[in-house]
Amino acid sequence: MTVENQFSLSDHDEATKTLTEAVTGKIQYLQTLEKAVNEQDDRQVYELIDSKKYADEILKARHGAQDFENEKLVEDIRLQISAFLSKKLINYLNEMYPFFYFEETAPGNFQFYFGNWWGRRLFGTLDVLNVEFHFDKREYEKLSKAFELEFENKRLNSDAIERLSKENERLQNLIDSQDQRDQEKEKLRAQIKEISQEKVMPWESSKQKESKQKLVDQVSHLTELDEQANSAYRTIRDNEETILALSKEDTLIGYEKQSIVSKFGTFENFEAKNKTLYRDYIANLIASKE
Amino acid sequence: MNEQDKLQTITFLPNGQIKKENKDARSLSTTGRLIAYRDQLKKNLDNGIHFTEILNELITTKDSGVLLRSIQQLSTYQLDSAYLIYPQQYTKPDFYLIFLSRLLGLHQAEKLVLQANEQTDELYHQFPGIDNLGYFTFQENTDGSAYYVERNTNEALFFIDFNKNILLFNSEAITSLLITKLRTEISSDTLRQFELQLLAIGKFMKEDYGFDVDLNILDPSNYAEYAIMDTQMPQKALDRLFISASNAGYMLVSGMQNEAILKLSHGIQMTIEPKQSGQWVIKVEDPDNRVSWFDILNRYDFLRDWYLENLDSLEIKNDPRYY
Repeated sequence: MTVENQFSLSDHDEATKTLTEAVTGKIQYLQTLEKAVNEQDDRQVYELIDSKKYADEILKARHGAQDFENEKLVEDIRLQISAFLSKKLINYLNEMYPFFYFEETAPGNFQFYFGNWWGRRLFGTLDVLNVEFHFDKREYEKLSKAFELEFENKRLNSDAIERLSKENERLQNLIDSQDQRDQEKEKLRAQIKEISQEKVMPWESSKQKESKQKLVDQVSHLTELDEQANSAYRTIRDNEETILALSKEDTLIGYEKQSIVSKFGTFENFEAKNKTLYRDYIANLIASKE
Repeated sequence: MNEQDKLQTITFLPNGQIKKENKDARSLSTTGRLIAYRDQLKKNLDNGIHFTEILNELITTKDSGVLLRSIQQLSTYQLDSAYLIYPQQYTKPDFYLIFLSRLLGLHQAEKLVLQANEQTDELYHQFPGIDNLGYFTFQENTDGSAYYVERNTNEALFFIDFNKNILLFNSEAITSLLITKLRTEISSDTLRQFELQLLAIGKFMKEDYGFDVDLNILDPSNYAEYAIMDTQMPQKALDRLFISASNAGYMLVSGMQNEAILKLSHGIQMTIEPKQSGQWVIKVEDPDNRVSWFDILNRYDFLRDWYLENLDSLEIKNDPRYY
């Protein structure tokens, strides 16, 4: 066995030293985390699990310390960390956003409802580690639209409700006027019969046909309306159900708007606050520790 | 069949034995017949005298126990017989009215006024404030039990059985008469007074006589659960309530068990929730146990409208055995 012509390999002592340092570094990271958890130092935990975000948002450092490698160590216990951090965070949110109601769907996973009123909407999920709301896009969109419509003095579903109500009114009239149509049809049919029986000169026959056709057309128009009237009950009921659902939604959103206005003044302020939630929260943690 | 058989009196005894007695009419002398007639007549006159004694108790006694005994006896009393018929009689329903008035009178709580029809002498109740809009009498069943009925509408407000000791109020009739019909014509205060009178009847029947009393929608206790018709969650009705409550300045909220809760004024709270059996109920709680579902309907316009519009799913159930 020859050792000549081999590539030069790591110096083993050096390797031992480097590895020991690396392991120690990781142990230290984890020990710091452990200590922070034991001391209920949520701020420190936030800093440890995402140093970049912390540096960017809190320290405003352009090139803050980044510790991606160590942060990977806790990737598989993120849910546990989330469950741990949720306690203080939700206490804070309950104060800042008193209209959100948080529910833990699984350890460390949270969703929240807007309000405690009947039929309240599920409004999104809470990202505890990033201190961030993930709003349900559809629901959020509706709320935002409702705020816009305020300038027109309208509610989100005012137009749809008005349209459906008008349609129902029309259909109800159609139902109510059935007798009248029946009488009219009878009259028209009698006229048709009369015309058919009239003996006319050959040169007048096309004119006769024409006026007969007119009457037939009128009858078939009335029959068409009859058919509409027949299915009108069902349509009216369906429309009523839709109107109910839309009014309910308007009422819900009304409460949502009230909640936001009474806490934040305007929707814009609310949105701005959401954007700085991480910073505000960490600042709150720092302040409450002092 | 021979003559002998015809004259036999056959008695079926409870133990299944059959006893036969021969009564040979041919053996009775004329005197014997007259004596038998006299005995019968006397017996029937005694029966009449006894009746007057019970009637006297009903009218004059100061003892509520005696009062009940008198009405129980009268409820099944046979005054007429083959020998003696009294052309001038008050009916059992009349006695029941007298009984109620007397019971309320004994407790100094009598508001119902006992009146007599001038033509027929028939008795009826009237209530100050409702006046000519309602007159109340009993309608008798063959077994002596009776319904307390408003005669213009035929609405039976409660069922009473003096022998089975039960008194059951009828939510459907109470709603229909007092909430749907009379509420627009008389003041809510009068309705409240009338309700209190009905409650007094229930209270005295229960406390004095141990009757099994179901106050139904009049029950002011916080423990009262008014069972609704709907077999499932009354979703549409609740959505409608959410909207109309909001318009009236109240908020229908979701409870922890997904029940619907409406907080009203004066600490009154209404809850609509499922029981373990799956039956949906309405509950009304207030600090003094004074407010019933009926009061809510009487007091809150938006809830009355809501209830009446959604009766098909919300109507408070009655005991199906009696209504």
